[in-house]
Amino acid sequence: MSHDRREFCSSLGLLSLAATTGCEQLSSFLPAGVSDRDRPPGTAPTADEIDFTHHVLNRCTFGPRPEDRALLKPGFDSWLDQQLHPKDIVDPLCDRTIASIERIHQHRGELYSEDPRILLHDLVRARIIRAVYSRRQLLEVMVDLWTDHFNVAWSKGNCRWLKISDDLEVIRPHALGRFRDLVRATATSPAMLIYLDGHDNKVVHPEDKPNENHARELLELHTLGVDGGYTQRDVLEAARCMSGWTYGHSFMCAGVSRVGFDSGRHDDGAKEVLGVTIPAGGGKNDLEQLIDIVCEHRSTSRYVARRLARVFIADSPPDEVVEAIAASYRSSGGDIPEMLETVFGLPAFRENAGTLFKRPFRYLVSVLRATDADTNGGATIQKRLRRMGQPPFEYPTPDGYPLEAEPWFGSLLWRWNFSLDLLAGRIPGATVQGKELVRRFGSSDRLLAHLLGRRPTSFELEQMNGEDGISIALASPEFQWH
Amino acid sequence: MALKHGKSVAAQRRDFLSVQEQHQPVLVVVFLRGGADGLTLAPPHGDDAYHRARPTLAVSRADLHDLDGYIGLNKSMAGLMPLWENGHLALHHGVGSADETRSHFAAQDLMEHGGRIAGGWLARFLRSGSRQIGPLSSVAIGTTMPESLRGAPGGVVVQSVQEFTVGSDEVQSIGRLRKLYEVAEGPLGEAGRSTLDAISRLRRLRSEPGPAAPEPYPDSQLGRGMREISRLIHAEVGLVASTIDAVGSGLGWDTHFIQSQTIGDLMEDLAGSIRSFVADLGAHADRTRIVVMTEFGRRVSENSSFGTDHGSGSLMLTVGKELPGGAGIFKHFEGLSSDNLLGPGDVPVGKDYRHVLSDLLETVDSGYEVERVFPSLTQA
Repeated sequence: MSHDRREFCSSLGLLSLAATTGCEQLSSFLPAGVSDRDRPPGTAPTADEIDFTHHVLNRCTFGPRPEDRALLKPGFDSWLDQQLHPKDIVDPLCDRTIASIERIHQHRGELYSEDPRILLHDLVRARIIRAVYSRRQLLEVMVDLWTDHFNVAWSKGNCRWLKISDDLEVIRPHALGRFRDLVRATATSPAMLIYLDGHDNKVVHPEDKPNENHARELLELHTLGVDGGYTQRDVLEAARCMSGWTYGHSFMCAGVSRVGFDSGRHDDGAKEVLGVTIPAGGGKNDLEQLIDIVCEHRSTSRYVARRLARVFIADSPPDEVVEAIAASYRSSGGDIPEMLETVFGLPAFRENAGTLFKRPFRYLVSVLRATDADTNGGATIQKRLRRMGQPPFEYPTPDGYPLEAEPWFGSLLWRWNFSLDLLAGRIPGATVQGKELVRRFGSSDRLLAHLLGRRPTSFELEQMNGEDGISIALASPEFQWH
Repeated sequence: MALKHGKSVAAQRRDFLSVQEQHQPVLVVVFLRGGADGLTLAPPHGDDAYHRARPTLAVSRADLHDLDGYIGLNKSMAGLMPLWENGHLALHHGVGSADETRSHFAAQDLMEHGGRIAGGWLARFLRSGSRQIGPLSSVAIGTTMPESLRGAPGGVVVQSVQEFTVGSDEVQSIGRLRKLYEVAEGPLGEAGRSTLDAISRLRRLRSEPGPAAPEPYPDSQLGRGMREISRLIHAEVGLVASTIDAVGSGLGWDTHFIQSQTIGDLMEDLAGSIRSFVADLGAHADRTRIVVMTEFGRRVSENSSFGTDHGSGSLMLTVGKELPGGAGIFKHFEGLSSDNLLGPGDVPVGKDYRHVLSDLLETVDSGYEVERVFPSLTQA
């Protein structure tokens, strides 16, 4: 008898249980030193409006931890300079924790022997742990940004095994590098080749039509943008440039999992993309030429600038803001750190404190950071993210989780329950020392100021007092924005 | 969109959920896991080839309600006859997907994703449509999220409405949150207030047993689950779509072995649950559509264990007051003689199941974009 779905699911249930028991015990999962680490005094803002320090921590990190304001004491510029060089930041605690999630660090060929649902669980756990604990916070925020920009949904075919290498080897190494390198890496990422059908883009006989899916998304979503001025002809020509790249693996032979260029499946004729001619006979170099053409296109500078502006400044950024960032893209050759320096130097950045709606991932992580929670990022936390509608790596279509606020308003009930359950100790995968937190700030008023980014109003103090005051603050309308 | 405090906007308060989402259509998806035998649920008793292929399993004339001289409804499905007589039931026979694996897992995935693409068809429908998405827009009844809802805006899986609560001291939490969201401006304030209203309605629902269903539900997982869906619809909490699996006990619909001993109870459970559900809905039945589907049908010829093996085309049922294309029988296969069959002797797929779904979705949200929900369907 062939597999029965219910049998299949119940065996998975057992497997994932086996994989997570033990790990669900916080103390046995966190490396020595995390749960009894130093918990320095908290510092809270003292103004009546959100100040610049809080604003920076809200936007350039996943939200302030109790002691984080001290990080910005030496000045924003030197802090930003450190954050733009994540390799130079020493972060042993988080690094050790990530290293202990051993399964995801195997070569992608080996991953095929693993149960994909457990791989997803481990990858999401690593994502949560990094967002909550990493000192390389700006890197984590950029990984979040590019993961949506170059969305690959875990649930399509072999992406179940391949999203891990896409995350660890493609997105993360380039998240604070050059945009061109990032696009190039995603273009032949095994997961992307499967997700957008690029692996099947071939021209063997002269009459063969290439598979346009990957080429279309490259232009529409990854570089020029839908209004970027390309035509259907450009999509076809780009698809011809990309033909012949494929991905193969062997279930029989663990470790055989590779991307290759098959000249027999490549259309080697002359092409013209966006007005630039690519002569015949270019072979695998056609892809390099194509990536150069699209990344040097003026529309790409604006399209990428607009995404940065939407994530860091305002959901509908003014044209001059987008143009200023685009100019930085063009002058730096798409250098992501230089563009970010431009973003954070704009008056519009300062002026838009508290105007972006937190998506569920950011909401959940910012709660865990603000309360200095101990978490293992495991199944119980992941279930909460799913209820809120943003489980990582599961957005089905190539455009990635939406940035705007409207699609997320339906998640309020699950946000409220998360904050109420967390402080009441009802979430096995995360614990918070509520009373200790108040003590570290010296008073509950100051703790509330830390949560809200400004001194609470008397009306807020009235609602946010008593036993569940912290939860109510975290569930309040104010905490949904950043 | 920054929030200002101290301003009372209570006067402007409007319950946008009740204006926009009350009395709106609801879709209920019942999935028969295991590959249900459409040839037993709705037997083509007027086809000699049917009786020849199934010497022990063919449903006799006495055990069915004839519908059109060729197709009948199994007597175990008699619970659906009132719906048939009122013109609220359509049978789509010979529908299915492009699956060629005949593997439960692969075929269910393909069907629930709506093609060889990522995420679920219902998830894409909710994401791309014009319906207001609230906390209770899509609810899966059961213990795991079905693939059709993979990537949905909010993935709620519950076994009972009892699970919709906020905090442990609900009254106090709701009271405090209401004060804060009462003065929150803009769409977040509206969303907060409508969410609080939804919880309050469910709270009343939980504390009251409610009137007994006019026709008792079968005492089964499906019957209990359908009752929960009915409660959500009655409560007007913004439900757009709900999913539930009909799995029965044992091997369920996967009837390889002595099929006649097991499938009767499953059919009675299915038809009885739908019948009670529709009766329980009362006036809400007018805005509710049900689709019953399965990953594939079963081989026309019975096997040596008096069962049937995995096949291809099968049966879909749609239930509702105004069905797209009307009620009745939609037969998409020629006949069951061997020259009309596919591969090892299966009913061919004469109509892609996604066409049935896309027509039905049109009646749930006329503003939805079919090319976003079933991209490969529109290219074909």
